[in-house]
Amino acid sequence: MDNLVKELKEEIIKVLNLEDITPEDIDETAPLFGEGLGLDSIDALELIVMLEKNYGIKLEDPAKGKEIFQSINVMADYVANNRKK
Amino acid sequence: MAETLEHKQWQGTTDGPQFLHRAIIPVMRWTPLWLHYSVLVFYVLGYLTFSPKSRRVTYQFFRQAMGWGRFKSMLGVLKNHFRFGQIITDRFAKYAGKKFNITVEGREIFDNLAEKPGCFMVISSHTGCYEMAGYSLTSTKKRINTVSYGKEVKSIMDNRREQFAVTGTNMIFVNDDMSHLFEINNALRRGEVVSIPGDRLFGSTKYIVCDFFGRPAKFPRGPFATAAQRGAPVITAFVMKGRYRDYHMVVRSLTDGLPDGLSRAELEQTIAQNFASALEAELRKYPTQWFNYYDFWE
Repeated sequence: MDNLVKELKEEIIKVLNLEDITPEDIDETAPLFGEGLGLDSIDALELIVMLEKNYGIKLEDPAKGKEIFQSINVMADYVANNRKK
Repeated sequence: MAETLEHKQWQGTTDGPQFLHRAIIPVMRWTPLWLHYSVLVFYVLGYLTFSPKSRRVTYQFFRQAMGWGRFKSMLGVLKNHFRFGQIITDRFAKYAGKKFNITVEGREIFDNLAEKPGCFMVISSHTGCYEMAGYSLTSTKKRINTVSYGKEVKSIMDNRREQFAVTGTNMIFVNDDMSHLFEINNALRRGEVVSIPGDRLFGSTKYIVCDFFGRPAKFPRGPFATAAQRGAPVITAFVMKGRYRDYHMVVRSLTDGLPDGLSRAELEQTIAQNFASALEAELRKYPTQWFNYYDFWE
């Protein structure tokens, strides 16, 4: 799981082009949107597409998205249990 | 360069009480359009008196972007607001079943993409009456999804939904819970068409700086980032008002002839700049038909 958390952090930094942030700067328990990383709707769309491309996870339900994007840890847990790639 | 901007701009909803919106449709079925345009003159004069912000930003647009003199700019402010009133009137007239003549230049660009497999995007703008495109740019092969500001008044939304249901257009409303993102993504994944405004910041506050009328201006990053992310072809359509019941639609490709090997950021920037240039070219032809009542260059 630790490897997946690290991988997700690196992917998020890459797809969102967070140039000044390192994986160590991201708190895996902090909210991704609003506080924490302070991501917004464009970033959310990037994450939806990233999950689809990298892990074969198609997120279609907004309620599910809200649940998954709570934090890196929650996201990693969901990816581990639902990945197709 | 993509950056962020606090969005406290004009909210973009239609003015006026809802009972009036509802009452006007049956009235319009039995009255000529010119009569409503005549009444509009008084409404526009009253509106301009009590709306210094829209008066100021429109005047600045004519002075600074178009380079017009003081008198011509003041006249432009009047014409712009009257045009806007006419376009809102035309929307209701359309809901009431009145017919308009719409000529289309570049329809083959839309039709070619609609025939091919895969999604594409239409970037719209707050010029003329884009809603009229919903009655003309239709496809039997692909569903069209129009992203719309979710807080527009109910009477407008209900009528828009009813009218577009006839042409098979699906409305996606921008919501605070980001559910619209899932709808946009699902539509693109299914190979459908997504139409989204490209000249107003709403939803996300991230923007791309483009050259617009010779000065840097902020365009919303969302539509261009979404297109670049999917590598989707992008077109734009402007539906400008002509005389009385005439509209002229122009369709342009924003992604034809792009150089190979562009990075994601470069692709976003190039599509956004192509849109800004196409919008500028259209506004130079129809300077009184841009209805974005906030300082676009702030």
